[in-house]
Amino acid sequence: MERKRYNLLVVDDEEDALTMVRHMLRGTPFNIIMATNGQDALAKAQREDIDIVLLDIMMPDISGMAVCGHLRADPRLQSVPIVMLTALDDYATRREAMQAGATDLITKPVTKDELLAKLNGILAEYHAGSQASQAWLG
Amino acid sequence: MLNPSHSPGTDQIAQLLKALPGALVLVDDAQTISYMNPEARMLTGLRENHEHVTLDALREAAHLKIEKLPVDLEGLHIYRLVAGNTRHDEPANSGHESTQQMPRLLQLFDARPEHILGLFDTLGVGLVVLDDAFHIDALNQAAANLLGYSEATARKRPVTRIIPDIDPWQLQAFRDNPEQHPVPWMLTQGDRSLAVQLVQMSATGAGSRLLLALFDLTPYLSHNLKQSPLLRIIVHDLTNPLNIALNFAEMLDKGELEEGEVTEVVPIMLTQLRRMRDLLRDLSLLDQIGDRIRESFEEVHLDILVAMVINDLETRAAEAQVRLQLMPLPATSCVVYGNERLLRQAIQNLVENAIKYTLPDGWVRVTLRQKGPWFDVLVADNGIGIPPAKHAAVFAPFYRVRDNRTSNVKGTGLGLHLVRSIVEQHDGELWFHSVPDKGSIFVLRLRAYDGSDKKPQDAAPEL
Repeated sequence: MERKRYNLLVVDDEEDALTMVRHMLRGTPFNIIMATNGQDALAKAQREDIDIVLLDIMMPDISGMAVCGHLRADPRLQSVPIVMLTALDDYATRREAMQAGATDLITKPVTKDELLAKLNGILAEYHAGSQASQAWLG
Repeated sequence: MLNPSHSPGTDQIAQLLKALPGALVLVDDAQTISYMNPEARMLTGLRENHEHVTLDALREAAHLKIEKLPVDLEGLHIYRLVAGNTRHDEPANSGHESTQQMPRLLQLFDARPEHILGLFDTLGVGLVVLDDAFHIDALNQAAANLLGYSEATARKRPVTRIIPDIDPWQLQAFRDNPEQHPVPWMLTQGDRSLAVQLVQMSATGAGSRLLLALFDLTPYLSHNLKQSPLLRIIVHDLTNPLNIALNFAEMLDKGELEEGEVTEVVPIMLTQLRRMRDLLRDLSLLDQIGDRIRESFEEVHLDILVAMVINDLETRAAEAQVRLQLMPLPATSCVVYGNERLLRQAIQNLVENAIKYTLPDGWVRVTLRQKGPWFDVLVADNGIGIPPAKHAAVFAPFYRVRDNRTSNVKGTGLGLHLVRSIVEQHDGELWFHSVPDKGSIFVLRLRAYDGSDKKPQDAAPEL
């Protein structure tokens, strides 16, 4: 039986950061869909079936928090896990992210193992019983 | 509210506004601006001959918040300008620079301490008047707040009881030698850090009164990330490139990348590491531009500096397909008094910026000219320009123009802020004009060196 693949929407204004995530998650069950700004992210989220979103908090033209809010406002995306990436893990940032609708927060710098553990952990919660994610973790 | 029966003249107020922290403008009843202090000029990018604009025109054009100060001066009003861009949280002047000007300007008021106290109140500067015996004669509300004592409690008490951290020997030394120009120093009052400046009030009659000017430095010294947007931005701007470079390094170390991928990844790592280096370099430069920088000043040949900068940036301009032109230099040598390295950095930042924000096939033109006692360095381009709404924030730290046409260009965001800091330390001026899609021109103005700034021991011996 083929392992299930997950569509991961990665939103970051830095192309190099997207390249990094692409390399980090190569060989994992994640299909990377990339977006460099809020508008692009929303457009792609509406076109594809997204299983999980990885979103950078600080982007110049539209903040990650605002993108999170817009994604949550779309009925199809209301239950999709959104993980936000931030350089600062202080209480105020965490609270603001949760209020914007984020599922969880990851503090940069993050290694490949940490990222995978976080993404899989969240997917396991949201798709309880999914054999694919458990197989991967095993 | 301050309602003196005898109002100080416009010139005297202008002198006062020049020395105080904040971007301040003096406005008449017709809402026309009759004076802008240097910080207000920097914030708005307006030159002196633009001072006859109205407050409304300024508000619309420059995306600023304007607060009226509760001071009534017979037909004159004082407004404080604040940049609308939320990143402009750091002060342009520290309390040190402004309190150094106080001895001069306070002489302009005829021994009317109540005017001074009230006016300084509205600007958040604490004033304490001490008598012969260093007892507190009077203090304004701002000082009462900073020191943590009410006016009634503090009055008539020895100053050392109210401000335990103050050194009575310093007061005595100043009293004994009032010609000595006092350097502001820092003291701690409770959990606050204050900058203190001494001023001789009057030297006539039986005694002379001393004035203590207090400026609260605490917000600017805070290391709490939550209270310092600047530090948050610095952490973010360093963490991102570090994250990328580190992850790729780990993948390389574990052999997780194929041959072709290594070729893709290594340039990315280098770019990110260079970004960190550039940011740290700029921050380090910013840190060096303190008051003591003047001790490093010497004669600098501006014409040679400009030529060197053009030479250094020729390759970069060629890569960007931008024509970089240096207009004919003046026939005479162009000497200013300053720090060569910093001035070179300032000119370089202006030219680099112009190249960055000019599209391929565009041009950047650099001119050095003499205008009376000044030298102007003009950097003009026909690039993408700066939208009017952003003009007020252009010199703020980490201000960056985001435009799809130049989005591949990454800077530290400190370039122009550095230029402004450098120009300020050289008592120069910096302004610009810019029209979106037409281009920009930045002007850096420095005073020509006339030999009068030489320290006595540096003077050439008479032959």
